[in-house]
Amino acid sequence: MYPAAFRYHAPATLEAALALLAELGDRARPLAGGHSLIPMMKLRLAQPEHVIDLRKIAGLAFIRETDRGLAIGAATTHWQVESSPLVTARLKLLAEVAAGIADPQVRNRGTIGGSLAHADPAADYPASLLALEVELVCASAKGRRVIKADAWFQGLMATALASDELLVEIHVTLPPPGTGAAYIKLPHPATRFAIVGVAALVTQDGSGRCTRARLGITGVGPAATRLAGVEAALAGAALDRATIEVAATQAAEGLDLQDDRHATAAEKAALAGVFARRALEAAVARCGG
Amino acid sequence: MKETTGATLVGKPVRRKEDERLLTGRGLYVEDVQLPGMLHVGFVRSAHAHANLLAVRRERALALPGVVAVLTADDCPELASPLPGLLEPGTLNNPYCDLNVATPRLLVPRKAHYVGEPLAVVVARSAYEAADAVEAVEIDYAPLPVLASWQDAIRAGAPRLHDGVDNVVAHLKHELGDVEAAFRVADIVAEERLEIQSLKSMAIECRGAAAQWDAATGSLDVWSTSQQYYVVRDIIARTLLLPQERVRVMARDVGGGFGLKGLLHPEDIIIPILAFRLRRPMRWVETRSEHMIASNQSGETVHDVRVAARRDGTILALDVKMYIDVGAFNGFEMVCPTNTVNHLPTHYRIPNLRAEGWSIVTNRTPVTPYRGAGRPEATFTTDRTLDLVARRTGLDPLEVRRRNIIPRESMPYATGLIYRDGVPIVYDGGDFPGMLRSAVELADYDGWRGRQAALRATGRTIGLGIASYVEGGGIGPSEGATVRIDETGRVLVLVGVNSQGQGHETTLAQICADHLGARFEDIEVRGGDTTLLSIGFGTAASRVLVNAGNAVFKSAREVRRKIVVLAAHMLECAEADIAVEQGVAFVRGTRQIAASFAELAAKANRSPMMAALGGPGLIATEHFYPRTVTWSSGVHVAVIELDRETGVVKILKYATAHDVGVPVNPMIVDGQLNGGIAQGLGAALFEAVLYDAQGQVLSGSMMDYPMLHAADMPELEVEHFVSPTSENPLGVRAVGESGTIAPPAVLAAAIEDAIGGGVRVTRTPLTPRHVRALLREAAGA
Amino acid sequence: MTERIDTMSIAITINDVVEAHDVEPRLLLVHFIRESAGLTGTHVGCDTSQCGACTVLLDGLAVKSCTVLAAQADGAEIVTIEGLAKNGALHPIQQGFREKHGLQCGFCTPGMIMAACQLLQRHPKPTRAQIRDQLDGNVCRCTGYLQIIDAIEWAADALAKR
Repeated sequence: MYPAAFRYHAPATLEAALALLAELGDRARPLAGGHSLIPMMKLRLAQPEHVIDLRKIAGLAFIRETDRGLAIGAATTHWQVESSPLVTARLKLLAEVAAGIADPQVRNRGTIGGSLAHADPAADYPASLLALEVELVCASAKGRRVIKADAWFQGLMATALASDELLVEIHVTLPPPGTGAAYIKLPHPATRFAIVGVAALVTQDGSGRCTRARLGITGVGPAATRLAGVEAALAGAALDRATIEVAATQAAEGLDLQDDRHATAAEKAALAGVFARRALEAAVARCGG
Repeated sequence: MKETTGATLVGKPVRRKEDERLLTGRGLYVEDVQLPGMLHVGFVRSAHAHANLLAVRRERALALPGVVAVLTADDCPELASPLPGLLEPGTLNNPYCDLNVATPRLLVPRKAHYVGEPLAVVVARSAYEAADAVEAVEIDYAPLPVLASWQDAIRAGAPRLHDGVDNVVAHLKHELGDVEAAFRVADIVAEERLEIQSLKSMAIECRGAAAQWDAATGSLDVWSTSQQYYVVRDIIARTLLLPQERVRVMARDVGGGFGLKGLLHPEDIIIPILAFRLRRPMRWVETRSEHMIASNQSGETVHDVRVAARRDGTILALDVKMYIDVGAFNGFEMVCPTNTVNHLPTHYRIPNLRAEGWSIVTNRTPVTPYRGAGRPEATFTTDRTLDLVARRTGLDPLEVRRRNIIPRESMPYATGLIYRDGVPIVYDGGDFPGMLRSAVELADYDGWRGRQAALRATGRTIGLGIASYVEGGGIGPSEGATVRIDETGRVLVLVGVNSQGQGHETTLAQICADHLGARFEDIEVRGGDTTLLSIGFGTAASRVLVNAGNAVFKSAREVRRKIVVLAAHMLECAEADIAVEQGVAFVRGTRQIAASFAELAAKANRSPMMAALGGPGLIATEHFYPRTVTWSSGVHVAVIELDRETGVVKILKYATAHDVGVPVNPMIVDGQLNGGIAQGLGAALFEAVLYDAQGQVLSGSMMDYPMLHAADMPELEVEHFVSPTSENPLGVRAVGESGTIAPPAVLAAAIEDAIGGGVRVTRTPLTPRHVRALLREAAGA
Repeated sequence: MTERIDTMSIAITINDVVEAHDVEPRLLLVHFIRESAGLTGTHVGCDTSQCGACTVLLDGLAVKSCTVLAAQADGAEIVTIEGLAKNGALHPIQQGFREKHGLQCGFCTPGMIMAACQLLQRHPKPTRAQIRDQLDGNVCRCTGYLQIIDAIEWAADALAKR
């Protein structure tokens, strides 16, 4: 309940924050919304010596149109994404994913950057960010670099983010016009985290054939991942019920599944297929706008 | 019977008096108590389920900022005091229990018996610094073999948890009729094992205590979350060798109890000891993580059930063996299994019954009754068994119930069992067939049954379930109430019990208003303070409204009697001509000739008339001694839909018919039922205290112990039946635990009905994972 | 025992009153409200940010004050349960809870009511389904929620009439 003591910093600029991170490295943890870090600190699972509060830094929370799609500042809250007319108009999937995270109070504080940096294996954003084409912009005292979402999630709560870096922007490329998208999850009854969650984006041509399918899954393994087997099975195929059902059976391919309190590995494999199918059906129903 | 005084408030949804402070953030819960110079307490808790304590090293902790002390029983002798059970052997007239052994327990032991047991105490300037100190205390353990389950504890060669005490610490047995003879002639004999999980209170307020020693008066003030605050007072007084009157325990406001803020918690006594010894005010509140390991819980229970029946579905005999895990200490003299036996018949004729039960200690958190207290286990057993008979006979579960049900004409109905107060059980009213019919119709049972097959063909998996319950509530020995009118005309009602949300300040005021002739707004009800009445017997077992309510009734009428005598004298008329209404005594027919309560109270101080009226003042203290418990009852019917791929259960319809006798406040009755049903549904679908083979708690936070959220609670279709009881003047029956009893049985039945394939549901909770396993079993069959 | 600990000066406006205190950086906002400012109406019910008993409005948004450092709210405006009633008159949401028996023990109630404030700001005419959904961050163990939903519907009507 009571965090251990730490030194607190609230730098006024991004440069100052990055300088602190360069100096302190993994002795420091950045603090945005705090709804991943503070719960861990209250249970003393995290006891950072230094906490760098990002609250005073201007320009970290925004949602903008770019020529390819949307740019979202890392400190943008889930509520801001959920309620953004721009996101709702351009990329409804993201607003829906945000609206399903935790509960309204958590969404008022939790940020997309904080969630992605923390990389809880059952978080909601990762599945859809993998299914979308997303680039993550990280800044350090040494400069900026761009990391593709596919390379971001590296293992159990492990990301490509270095200890002297801050995630600052998320760039989303809009899918082709007419793409149908959906995120379907089985929520944990206590926490609403995804026991399994699948995001599917499907594009079809005039004859109903799949020209593009991207799926991401969260919850069943140590990190969110693409459903490459399902995507391959859909390539060029007619998007009817039967095809979707067969494609979904490929969901477990390549997944790192272990028994745990929620489900056995075998059940997780089955659930991955079920939710791949449900996400695809919902996405296909939305094809064409 | 009972003449009231004009307008009646009993039976009306009067808005609650306690809401004014609770809605504006002005309640006073233990964590709100602020005392000058207050220190905060933390507990170092055992990381092992069973271990000897070799050393407690405190140097690191003492070096931290703000840390005042780190104490064990070696430093402070009172910390080695015994913590008695609430109901020690011989406390009750338990008719079935022939063995009940005390398991000695110390406040701060030198050996760990369960994960979470307090082994050392820290005192610091703030709760944050106390937490730092707790982390810094180092304990050397010598681990001992763990009795992780009751099966471990009764295995041949299992080590004894307590020296000189067998792990089977209590035993009960009862037989009604001739069970073996019934089994010999039965057409159908079936048996199965039922498993009911351990449950946690999860009141949103965790446990806590604050205490302050007042040197000027030589007295100790204690703020407690306990539901048994008189017992807390007595143990503190005994431990510190203080007279009882010098220990004041206050327990108001309390944020939910549900049984588990009853006694048997060392912290209740340790905090006052620290305040006394260190001569500084102390406060401690449990964190939720501590609650999950250190607050008492209900005991995991297994029933081996045999049933004998005729092929027409009528029950001949029921034979139940009960194994109850009581955790590390035995404190409640088999209250729960005794309740289970006595609640087995529910609404049905069981001509032959045998029950035997064993309480077994294990290296788990100690067990005390949780809302329901053995009654859900009874309904689960009987309703699962009726459904088993339905399966064997091919009859619809509803039809089996109709064929066994106790008809109205059979009331009053003696079940042949004896309540744990020693009194033979007689159902004194209630329309079981009527309630069954009502709940079945409200749920459209026949309609759904008719559509079930067609819906299955469209891919929808629907199931129906029925469960019935009775609730014996309002056990004694007694409760008292003082009713006093002061010279401003205010009416004070003092009781020896406290509320954890039941609305006593309102319901008791309604009763007082009606029977005294006072205005509701002039009445203040106070409880939760040992200085108000000399003794009370706890808020538990759904007993307060029945006992304290009838005590208030008696006291109010006695004060009214005094008013009538005094007013007749003052107003110079016959006593029979005096009416008392709305705080005024007046001559019937003419309100001009009147005396207000204020005037009468002033008169009653010095008037010599009071010599024949019990002394000065308009005051009376009466006690209600119930002959035995009252019997509430109800039926729940549920319609559910299963997601076959995930195992998630959706409740489509939930209907209840219930009878709580005269409802003092129907809004509060509904609230008690709704809340109980929500807890029952949680027990049916999500909740369980889980341990691993080393006695480590797996359900260590709210994340691992799912409770119902608003989105999970179904709308309820409800019909209220009212059959006043003749057991007390107000005709009230108990309602506190009623809601929790049926949901696990009803959902088990509905889910089993939905799954089909010969699968039997024999344990709870029915989590999605459990349901998926049942679906696989059905598919494989 | 070493005495010196590092503190920082924080000023938070709570119910229109500026509370300025020196606190440890690790002090949670809920404890700043309860212990530093002495406003004990906001409660703590868990340690995993689930129960919502600690909900307050922070710059107009409902947040779980147990999951915010007081330092993060430096300079902010907070409304707690104590700030709802004006001049002794209950807010319509408080009235609704009273009318419909939306509370029993009262412990989850302040957080529930503050969450309801945001709910009705965002959805002035909510359906029962929307109310259920928007209360997902608040756990009640006493009421079974139905009378809470009734209370919020009552309050929505009352606010619409104002």
